[in-house]
Amino acid sequence: MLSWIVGGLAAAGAAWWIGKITLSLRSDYLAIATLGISEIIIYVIKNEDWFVRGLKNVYGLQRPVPYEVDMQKSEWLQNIVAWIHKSELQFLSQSEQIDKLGDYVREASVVFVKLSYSGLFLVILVAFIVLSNLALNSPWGRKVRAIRDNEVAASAMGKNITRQHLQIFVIGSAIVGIAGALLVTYDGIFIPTAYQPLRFTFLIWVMVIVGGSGNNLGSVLGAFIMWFIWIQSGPIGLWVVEMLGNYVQEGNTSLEFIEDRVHYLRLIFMGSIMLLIMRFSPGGILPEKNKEL
Amino acid sequence: MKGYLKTTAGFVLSATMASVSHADVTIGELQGFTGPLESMIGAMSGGANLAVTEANASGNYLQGTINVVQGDSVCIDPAVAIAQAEKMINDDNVMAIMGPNCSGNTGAVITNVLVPNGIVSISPSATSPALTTLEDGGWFFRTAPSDARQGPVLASIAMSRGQTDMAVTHSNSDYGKGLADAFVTAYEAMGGTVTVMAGHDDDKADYSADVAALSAGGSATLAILGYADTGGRGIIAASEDTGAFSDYVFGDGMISAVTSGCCCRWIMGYFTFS
Repeated sequence: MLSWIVGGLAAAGAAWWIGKITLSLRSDYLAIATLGISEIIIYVIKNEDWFVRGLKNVYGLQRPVPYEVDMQKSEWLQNIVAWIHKSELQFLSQSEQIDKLGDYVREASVVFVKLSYSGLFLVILVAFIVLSNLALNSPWGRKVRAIRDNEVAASAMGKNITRQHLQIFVIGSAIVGIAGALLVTYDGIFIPTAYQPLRFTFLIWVMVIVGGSGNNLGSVLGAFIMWFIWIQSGPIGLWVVEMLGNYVQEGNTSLEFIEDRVHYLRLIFMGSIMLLIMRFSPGGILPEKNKEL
Repeated sequence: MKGYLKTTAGFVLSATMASVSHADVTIGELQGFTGPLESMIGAMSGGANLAVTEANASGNYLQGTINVVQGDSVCIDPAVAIAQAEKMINDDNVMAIMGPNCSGNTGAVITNVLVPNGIVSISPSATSPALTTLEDGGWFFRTAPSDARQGPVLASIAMSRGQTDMAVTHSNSDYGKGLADAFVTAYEAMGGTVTVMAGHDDDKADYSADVAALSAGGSATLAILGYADTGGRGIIAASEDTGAFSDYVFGDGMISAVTSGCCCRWIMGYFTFS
């Protein structure tokens, strides 16, 4: 768990340096400069083997919740599970009871670990939502929005624009750093080549846009929705093709053509859902509320 | 929270109930249908389904019919692979999983899904040596040899063919780097000389700079330990365009219709090892 804080601090530190260098740039140039720097960092880490093992995967990371296998051997869980399923188990013979109990204990341990993870991450998520909502409604939040809406006016009011930009950049990076550490903890594995732009820049960006940028809850909602689509678009594709199969005759060549490529429908689904949301609610699902100041 | 617990418990209960009757058996096919291995998956998936079809057609399988549920693991996204594997176990009630493919995904699925749920799996293509020592509780198997074995075997084949010096390029990934290290160590121990060793990034548009750097060592042989779909194909194309190398050594990631197609057209002296 310490690693989460370290992740946040490391990202904040890196952001401070990068921000110092690039934040005098504007919009497009800023985006290009930060992209360039991120590529430089990735290249250095890839090629320096002594430092975080370079390209090689890191297996078997420590996790903050107990291992399922250890739990399955622990007596208290077995007792609880036996107690929960008492009515069902008592009619079975001795050996059947042990078999059945083994199944239940296995499932209970999996559920327990998932619940511990969701509890842990929920606490952090709620903390971040509360903090960012408090920040949004504070004088600091008003200042930040004023800078976003009209930099010149904000600067005329005596706000230090560059300093604010740097501050926000560092805070945002720290949150992303913590999120990255959480992700690696959950995966239990660290795969340097898996962190591809499509998945970790584009998808997260889409989450924010779909949910509604400028609204904290919107971003969270967007994250849930996009993740659900990202995971479920594969099964949806399979299901659609199966349904189509009921309506066309056997040996239809165009259906066979689609069946061969059914897994690529995933990407098409992702794209079309995004387009639909963007078309019918351009501000995202929960757009920013304009408050009277 | 409570609702989540209830639904999960309900899920689990119904799953257990269903698994009691053995009329049909379901096997999960968790493969990277999209992602860096996608052109190899066709053959792997075909192989798995051929075996299932034959077993079903023979009628000798005592448990009934075997069904296959497919799932896309995206090959390099462990979070998706874990979610798909859990869906297969909880929703589709599979008794075994074929896959996943890439070693990183495989490691994540072993620790997070297979061992906790007690589901057996066999991977057709995870070659990382780290999986040998990973705590798998006996639930994980693979048909592809570990890179720690493939490296020395590939080196001895190269030596037996009289390829005593070569440039080595590997995909910038856990697979490429690990295999290249194993290969080079064994090859040099057998007396071979590695003139240049360099990684290449996958999915680049042009590999002529990589090939120029590799051929600067002066060897006419190039070992490509990477992926056929992405970097490997580009390296071959760039090398053939400039005539930099006349002889090639491929790792097992280079087997594909794409490379054999281009090799038949362009290259005379090549071999693959699987």
